[in-house]
Amino acid sequence: MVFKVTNLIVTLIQGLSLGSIYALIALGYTMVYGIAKMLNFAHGDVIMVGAYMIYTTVALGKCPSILGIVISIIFSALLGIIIEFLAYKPLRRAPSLSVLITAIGVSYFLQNLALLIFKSDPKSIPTLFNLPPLHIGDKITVSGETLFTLGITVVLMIALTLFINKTKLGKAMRAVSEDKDAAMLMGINVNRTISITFAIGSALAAFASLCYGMSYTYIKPTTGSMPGIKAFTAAVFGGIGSVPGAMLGGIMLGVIEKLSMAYISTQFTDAIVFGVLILVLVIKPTGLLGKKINEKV
Amino acid sequence: MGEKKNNNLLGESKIKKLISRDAVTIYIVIVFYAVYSAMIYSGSASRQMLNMVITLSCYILLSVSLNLVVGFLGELSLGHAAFMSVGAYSGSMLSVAILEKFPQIPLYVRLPIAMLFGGIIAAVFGIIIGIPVLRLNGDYLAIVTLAFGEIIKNVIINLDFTGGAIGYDTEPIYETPKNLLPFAAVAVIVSVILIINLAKSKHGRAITAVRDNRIAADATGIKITYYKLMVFALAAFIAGIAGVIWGHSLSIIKAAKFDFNMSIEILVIVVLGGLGSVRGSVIAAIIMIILPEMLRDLQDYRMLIYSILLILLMLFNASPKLIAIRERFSVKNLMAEAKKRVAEKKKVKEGSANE
Amino acid sequence: MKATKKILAITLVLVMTALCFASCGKKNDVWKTTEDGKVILEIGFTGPLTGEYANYGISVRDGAKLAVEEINAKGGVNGFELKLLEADSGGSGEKAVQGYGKLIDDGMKVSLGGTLSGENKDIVAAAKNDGLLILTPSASALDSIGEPNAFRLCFNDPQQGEIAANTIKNKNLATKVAILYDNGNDYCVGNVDTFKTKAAALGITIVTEQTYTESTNTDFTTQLTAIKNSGAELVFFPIYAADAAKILRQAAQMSLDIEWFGADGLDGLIEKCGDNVADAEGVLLLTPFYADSQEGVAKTFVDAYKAKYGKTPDQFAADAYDCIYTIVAALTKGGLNADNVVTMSIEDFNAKMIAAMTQIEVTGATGTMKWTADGETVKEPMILKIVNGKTVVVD
Repeated sequence: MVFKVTNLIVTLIQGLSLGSIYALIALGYTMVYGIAKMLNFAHGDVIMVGAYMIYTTVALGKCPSILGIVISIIFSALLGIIIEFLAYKPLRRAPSLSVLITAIGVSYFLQNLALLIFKSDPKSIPTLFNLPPLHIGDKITVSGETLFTLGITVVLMIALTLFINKTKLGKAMRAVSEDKDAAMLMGINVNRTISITFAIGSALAAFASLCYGMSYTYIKPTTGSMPGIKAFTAAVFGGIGSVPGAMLGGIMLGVIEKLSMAYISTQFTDAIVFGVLILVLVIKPTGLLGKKINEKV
Repeated sequence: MGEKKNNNLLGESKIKKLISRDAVTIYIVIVFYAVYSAMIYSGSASRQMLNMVITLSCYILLSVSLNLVVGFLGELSLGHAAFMSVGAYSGSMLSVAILEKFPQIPLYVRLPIAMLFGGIIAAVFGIIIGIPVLRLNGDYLAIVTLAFGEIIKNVIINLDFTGGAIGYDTEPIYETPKNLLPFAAVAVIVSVILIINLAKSKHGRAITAVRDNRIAADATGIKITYYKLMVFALAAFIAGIAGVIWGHSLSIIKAAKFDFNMSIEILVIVVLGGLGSVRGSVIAAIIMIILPEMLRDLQDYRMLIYSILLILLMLFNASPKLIAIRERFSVKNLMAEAKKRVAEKKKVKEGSANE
Repeated sequence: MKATKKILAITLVLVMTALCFASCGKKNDVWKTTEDGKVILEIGFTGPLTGEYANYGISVRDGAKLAVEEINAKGGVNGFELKLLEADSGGSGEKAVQGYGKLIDDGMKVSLGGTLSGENKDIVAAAKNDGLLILTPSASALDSIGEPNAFRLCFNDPQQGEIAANTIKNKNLATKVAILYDNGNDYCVGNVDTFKTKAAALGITIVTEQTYTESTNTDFTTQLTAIKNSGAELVFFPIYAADAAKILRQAAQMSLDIEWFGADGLDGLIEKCGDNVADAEGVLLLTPFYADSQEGVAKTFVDAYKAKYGKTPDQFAADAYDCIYTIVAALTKGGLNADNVVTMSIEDFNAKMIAAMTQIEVTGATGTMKWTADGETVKEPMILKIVNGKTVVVD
């Protein structure tokens, strides 16, 4: 293939857009991991639920787009809290693998519930906003959906960073993730902090489902699982538990995926993406921005 | 009378040793296969049961082998199905090749050769995947095993000699469950005995030492690299054998089948059965394969009920509060309490009588 | 003594569970009758009702159910009352085989095989010694049938690839063609393989071949960019409608203007496009069934299906509907009725059904069909075009 700068730019923008969605989902994984030390495998399915909520309110209920989106975000946040309360809270002191399996159970449950309610034929998300494409020169066209995704991701990331670093709640979250018992002694309500973390993670997933739905338009009960796995990979890639790590990991994963598709092979994309991941982890065993774990004797 | 004599002859402690916890596990597996085979070969088993026996055996093999990695070595692996896939492809290919070149070789020679070959190739992959393990821990390792699984799937789908996305045609080597059952049963029984003995041996203690405290184990001179790779290779070997049996039981194998979801399915069995418990893995595998089959009459609600049962099982099994409640009301405790109460009453009575 | 008791107890429990399990499965009487004296003919369906591919399985089940109810409402056929048995496969071969076993236990006389090619192949192998008629509505991979008792109602994949190449040549649609498909899917790969060989023979140049997989089927911008830069005049995309709808949406977002040509997997595309039906404008597809048909069995089927389920049927449903009527036609052709089946052996019944399959001609929702002895169907495909959000036949 002849190398063209315009092609490269287009590919990079596509990669950024895909990576943004991965990053939004990965943030949910990493925040929950940081604070509750568990892999929430049901997180990918929260995206699916969020997307179906948009579908239900806007396509079936004929709500205005904004209202539908707000309902979807609130619903997802509540769902996150409910899941945490029913399935994970009783296991707070149980071995982490037991919690992992429970999370898988929750994931199966959400998928099969969606299958029963919405059936498995793909549903199409209606056009939420009419966004005009952006033309740069006469060779580069960036779709409005892509710009929207990039924009919303940047805004959310800044907001989240400020929230974690500047607000009282954010500080409480950091304290709980450092040392649960010490935080409790300092008068922090650990249970409430964990619930809020789940709510924020799930709300971010709802934003991801919004971007996902706008760019890729079709949803089915298994919609969440692949982006879920990729985002989980991205979270580990960036260093699990690290918020900037999840942002970086998600975006890098998206860009690598798109670049290898465009310049190496569409057939072996998965192998290349995961190969790069293994290589990075072998060189840097705690991910790109992960904390080095001090070994205690 | 006779019992008492026996007891004296062998000695109480020797009998206890003979029927230890591990022996009971082996015994359960043997009786399970004896009863199952008796029913199948006498024709009293239903077709559903007959068609299930190979899947069931493969899942027992997969879960006991994954238990080696997760339970004994203490490393989370999310790519166990990939080893099965490597075994299934390599073993089936060899089996097809033997059948073409030397059709006179009977099944009872061809299949064990294929099983051994598939197992060895899978073990080689186990060692390759085991290498990053030496540098990584916990969730970082988990993601590497997941990544390897996806890479193997992706590569097999895009190669020509594996049949690509259409799948590898195993029609020529297809065998009915009745023909395969003896091989599957032997593989399961041998693997269970092997793993139980390994766990009890010097090596087994070394492996658990690595799991419980790596640095201390290292300091006492245990070769961590050797043991980690050994466990990965052995687990992959057994999973590979399961793959070969699987390949002979269906008329087509597809790489897409051996994906992340299948690895997770095996992990669920291992955790449900209890980490480090071989017997638990065997029983959980049987339950988790039979359960969805029993739920068939629920039709569309089947998988929903299954997922709810899974969550409840985990909560019941692992929630600290529920464990406390369960222990309080366990038969053993209730009996002990009753005994205590009876004894107390007796004491009181005796006391009052004395007065 | 305690240990001996323990062993005895364990053995007993195991034997009891096994016996209980066996007793609830094993049934012996071959033909059952209804209260009003009709003989029940059990037709078994196996397919994905849960999981990734559930939409195909559910369509097949619903289509078959509709036909069964129609026939029973008319008083059955030849003294039989039809009964549809169903078993979920979740899309995987071994669960399909287990489900097939359950259906045999429940007295299945004719099987609708598997919905997906892979599971159908596994069922055909597992059914070798049963010898019953297997008629799959939708397993299209070439070698997914291959036993004398196995037939299919749909086209096989290579047939479609060949017809597609011929059509592009004969109608002068394009000389430079791009291919876009899911290379992890046997249906797509089967189509593309023959298409490429045939296209080469006909002098059609394939300028680029773009692929994706199940794990990368959300973002197609890279592939579409490559197609845009390749100078292709037409894209051959023998994929399923759900992916196609996503691709067409993204192509529209990229303002990619090109001809699209697909196979029968594209059926239902208009529904899948939803609000964005304009994306699908001008797409050409080869299929034996289309839901906008205004004539014949297709129209009666579509109307009845819409009335019963409140949605437009897809090709899977139509194929399954036709399967049931084909089985009925085979019953009649084989001279089988409620009086004579109870006196003949089940082997005779199966042999008569299989023999009848190659002698019948059935006009159904997917056209007029005949079968060859190797199980393939012979029918005419139609070339359809999407114009103003409706499918129309192109001559």
